[in-house]
Amino acid sequence: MAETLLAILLVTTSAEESNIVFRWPTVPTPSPRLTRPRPNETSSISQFDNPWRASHFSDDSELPRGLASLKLKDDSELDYTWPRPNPQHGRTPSFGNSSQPSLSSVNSPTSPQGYGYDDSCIAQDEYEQIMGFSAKFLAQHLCPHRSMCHQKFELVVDDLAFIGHPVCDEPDGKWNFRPEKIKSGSRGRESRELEGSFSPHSVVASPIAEKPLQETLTTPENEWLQTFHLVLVLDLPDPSSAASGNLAKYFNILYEEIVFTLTAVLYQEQVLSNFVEKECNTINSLKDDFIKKGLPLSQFAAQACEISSIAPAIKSLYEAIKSSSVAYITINRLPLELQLPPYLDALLHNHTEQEAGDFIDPFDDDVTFDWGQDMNLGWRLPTVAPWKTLLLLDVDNEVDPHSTLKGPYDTPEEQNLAEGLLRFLETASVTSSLNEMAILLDWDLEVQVYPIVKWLVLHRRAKVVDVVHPGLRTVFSITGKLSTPLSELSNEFKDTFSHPSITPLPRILSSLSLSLSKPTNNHFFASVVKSKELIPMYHEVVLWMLKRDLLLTLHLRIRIVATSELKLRVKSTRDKKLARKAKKSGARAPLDYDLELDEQDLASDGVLPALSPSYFLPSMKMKSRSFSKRFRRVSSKDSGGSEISELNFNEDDLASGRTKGDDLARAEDDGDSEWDTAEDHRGASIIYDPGKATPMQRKWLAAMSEGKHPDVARRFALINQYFDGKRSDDEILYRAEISRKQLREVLHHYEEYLQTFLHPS
Amino acid sequence: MPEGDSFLPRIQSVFYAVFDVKQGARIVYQVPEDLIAVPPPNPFSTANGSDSLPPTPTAETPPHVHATPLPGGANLAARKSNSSLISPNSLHRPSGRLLASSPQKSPCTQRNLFNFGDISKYVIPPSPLCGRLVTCSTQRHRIMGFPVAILGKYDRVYFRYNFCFVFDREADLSCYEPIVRKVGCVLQACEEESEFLSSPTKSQAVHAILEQLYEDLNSYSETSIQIDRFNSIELKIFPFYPNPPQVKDWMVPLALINLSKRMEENWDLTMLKVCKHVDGVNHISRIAYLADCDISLARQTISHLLYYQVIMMIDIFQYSNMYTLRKNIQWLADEAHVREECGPYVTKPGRNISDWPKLLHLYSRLKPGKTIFEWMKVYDVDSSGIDVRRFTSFGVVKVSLRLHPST
Repeated sequence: MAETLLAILLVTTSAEESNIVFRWPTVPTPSPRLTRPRPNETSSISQFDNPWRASHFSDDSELPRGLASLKLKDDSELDYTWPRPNPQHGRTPSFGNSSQPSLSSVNSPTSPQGYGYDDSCIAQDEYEQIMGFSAKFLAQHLCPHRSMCHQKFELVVDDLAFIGHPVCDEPDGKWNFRPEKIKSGSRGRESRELEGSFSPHSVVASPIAEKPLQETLTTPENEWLQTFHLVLVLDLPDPSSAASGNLAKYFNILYEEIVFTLTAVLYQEQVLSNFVEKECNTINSLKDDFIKKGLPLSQFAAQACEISSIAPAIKSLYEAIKSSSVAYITINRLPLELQLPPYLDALLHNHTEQEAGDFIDPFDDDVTFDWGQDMNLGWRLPTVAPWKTLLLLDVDNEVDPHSTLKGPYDTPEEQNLAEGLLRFLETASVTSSLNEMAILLDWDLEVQVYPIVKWLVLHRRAKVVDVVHPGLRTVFSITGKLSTPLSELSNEFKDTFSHPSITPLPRILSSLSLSLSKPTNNHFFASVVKSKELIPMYHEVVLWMLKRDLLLTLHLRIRIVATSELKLRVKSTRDKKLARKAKKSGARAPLDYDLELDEQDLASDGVLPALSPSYFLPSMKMKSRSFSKRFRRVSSKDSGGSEISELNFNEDDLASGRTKGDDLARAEDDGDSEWDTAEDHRGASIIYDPGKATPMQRKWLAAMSEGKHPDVARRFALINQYFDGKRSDDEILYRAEISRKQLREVLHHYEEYLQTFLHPS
Repeated sequence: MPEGDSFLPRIQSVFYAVFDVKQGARIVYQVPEDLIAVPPPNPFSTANGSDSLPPTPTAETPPHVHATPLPGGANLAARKSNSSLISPNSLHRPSGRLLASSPQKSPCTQRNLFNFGDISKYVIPPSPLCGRLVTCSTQRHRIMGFPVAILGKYDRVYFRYNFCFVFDREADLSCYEPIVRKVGCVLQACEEESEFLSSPTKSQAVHAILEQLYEDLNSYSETSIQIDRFNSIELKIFPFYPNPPQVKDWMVPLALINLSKRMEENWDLTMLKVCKHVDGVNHISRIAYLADCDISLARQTISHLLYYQVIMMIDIFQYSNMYTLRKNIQWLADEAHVREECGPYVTKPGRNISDWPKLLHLYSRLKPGKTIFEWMKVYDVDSSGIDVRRFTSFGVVKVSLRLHPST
């Protein structure tokens, strides 16, 4: 929904005049504005308004205190609200700001017939006034110069914004597509145009390109229409409510989704069949009729909706936008679907940003599926991935998709498409992932399944959710805020699920909320269902709750920790190996170095010992508890002051650390060159991206599998690349092609090295 | 706050247009010159007077600049003292205004921004649009103006003019709205007092005003132009921040910068009192009590700090709180700054700093349904030297922790 939308206007110009042909709603009312901040009544400091009062109401100061406040209370409304400049002179009293005489009231042509009767006079006013402007004046200014046509139009007057895409005829007075411009380098023009704002020709030209040339030549003659302009009138939202730049994005979405698309269709119909002019003729003559009869504007609008096709289209478009639904309109028997992103208005509200943070992934560069430019902003769509699934929404219960989709089709392709969609709808289930559906249907995931997913989501017939376990062993959390009050929801719930063994909704929510604290059995089955017989019934409950966004599916994410014990173990193994080699060659064992260095390092507190091997830097403080137990001489203060971690490791440290001992080791053991100097070799650390593990980290990973069952160890080696804390359990199962049980087994065996995180995706 | 300066959109052009009795709407002066294409002058009208020609060469204008009582050295000094508010490019050219004319001297090499004819009806509109802020757009630019029509003893009864500012199409102009209004209104007052705009002898000073508006607002985001003995234009562009969310008495402000370092004596008195008690522990009503000030004033003060994004609001720390992980932890846990800051921040003074894997593990064990108290017992948090309050506030600020909705 676009809460700011005030009205939709259709404006035309002929050689003589400009005219607002149709508007909906008939009397748009912008929200009231204040001339200055209204002091908070409850606060005790309303006197801050006094300077203004002192300068504007000199009388007040002479009144006794009590009286003054009384008086102010009375006219406070008039004081603070901003009176919209009103050019209606002579008939209605003018308000504050309109001190400047209006030209339009002087110039506006008066029709002699209507003025004899009071009723018709009021009616005429209705027709001639709109939002404090005379309709003629506004029409003139909404139809810009010819050179400004065929491009995005934006005009802001105080608190009203007008957005449109005016189109005009050719200089010779004919309505034509302008193919010569497209040929002359659409590339050039596009590059000049702003991102996101493009000309309708590229869209409009495509259908005409397929049609035979003769058809364009037999374009019906138009008589008067020079320009038409479909304008959205918006109540300019409070700029301070939104983050900077959001307003432009907001306008752009309205422009692209609504104005541009509808104008493109109207333009095409005007060129092909002089449609817009004919419609305007119908509406205009009706309007003249109504003005003559002195009938009110609302009646005219109602009548116009019956006899024309543009008027009802504008009306239903407005209503659909206001009710945030998809607008199904028909222009000259051409069905058209228009809609705005469901979360569009959130762009204007700063405080919702935080909540939105859960939906938008600013960091997610691994997008496997692109929703496309038009479904980007304000849609809050989750990423589609093979391990996700689709929840079908019951938009129209009364309409059976089978009956609607079976209906006769013109071409076999359409027939095929419909049958495919039908098969997909039959297969789709929240318990099987998109990938499984693709296998079941024997379809290609990306070529066949994804487009249907996109189509269903765009038409708000489905939403992308996480797979629900068939036995309901999915971990759910509840959402922070309920969109509808709990009392309403639970009444609805009671009506839908009347079976006595189904727990009431508040209790389900409560047990879900508490279940997560349990270390095991925190899934839906254990916390709510508890009995196998009830699973089918609770499946319905889960679907019902998912449709109303009451549940958040939580996912497991895993990280690998190289513990300090493990690191020491790896190091000592290596040292032993080196020692053996050194013995063979008669050189001094590096192990001795280490022992020596331990002493030095701990004593000198942070001074780099000259002989330290580069991997053993004093900056790597011993943070782990287990480690400090072993080396009790480390003072807690030393480590307390340390802020240096492996990331702060700079080249200088490396260079100075690379000393004799290192060279020695390298000379002696070429095969050990992957011994990474940049790693922390003592304290526990997280292996952030096991898929791109350094040689050192690979050693640690290998050491984790020591003493494990070979099968489990092999599986761990295979799947540890996904333990980066970013991939959900579902994704790991899909990518590694293993079962949940196998994953659980790995998690169990490697428990000491793994950290698990449970949060929504 | 100074960091907002970079968000201020750049003025591409400033122009002054009037309704000419003979030519209709036309641009009298524009700075930089010749950026906006104007229709070739009508040969009949140009013969009438050379003063109505488009801008005179820049060589002629500097004398006018100095002739008008412009702020001299004193003003420049004032600007320098405000260096914290100066945008970075201004530091390189402290006297940018005086050097300004040189880059615009070759107009033929520059492309026109747009044709004046396309938008002239929004620049010099009929009366219903006068006295209102009108923003129109061309394909690549946005033109903001405040058309004024003054009733008086003029040839055509009205004198119509507009000072317009040209910006890029995508610029966010919220911060310029009051500026454009003010320029229009101040000059309206000047015209009404002394025919400053309509009198041919005085109107040349307008070019100097335009130049100074263009240079100063782009370079310093503020300007002070003395028009005559009584009138001056004092402008400062305030960076634009969205309104903060409403604050409640039970919210706890947590400073994101060192507030005490920024405090100045001439700050608002309540602000000075309140700031002292912003420590990440006290909630607003307690701050009001400690600072001995009205609760609504404390609320307003905190809102003000929140507006400038120097504090953030967290919840009162209680051992009965429950926290839950948010999605962002997947990325934030990898961030070096989070890793490095966490340990030193959350550890009690004089205690061993736990390593990041351990801290992260503790964060991952915060779950809805489990209070902080229970969590502390299960994981023996007390013995590890972690200050739990700091641990949770760091979590809320950096590690994407959230107070569980059910608490």
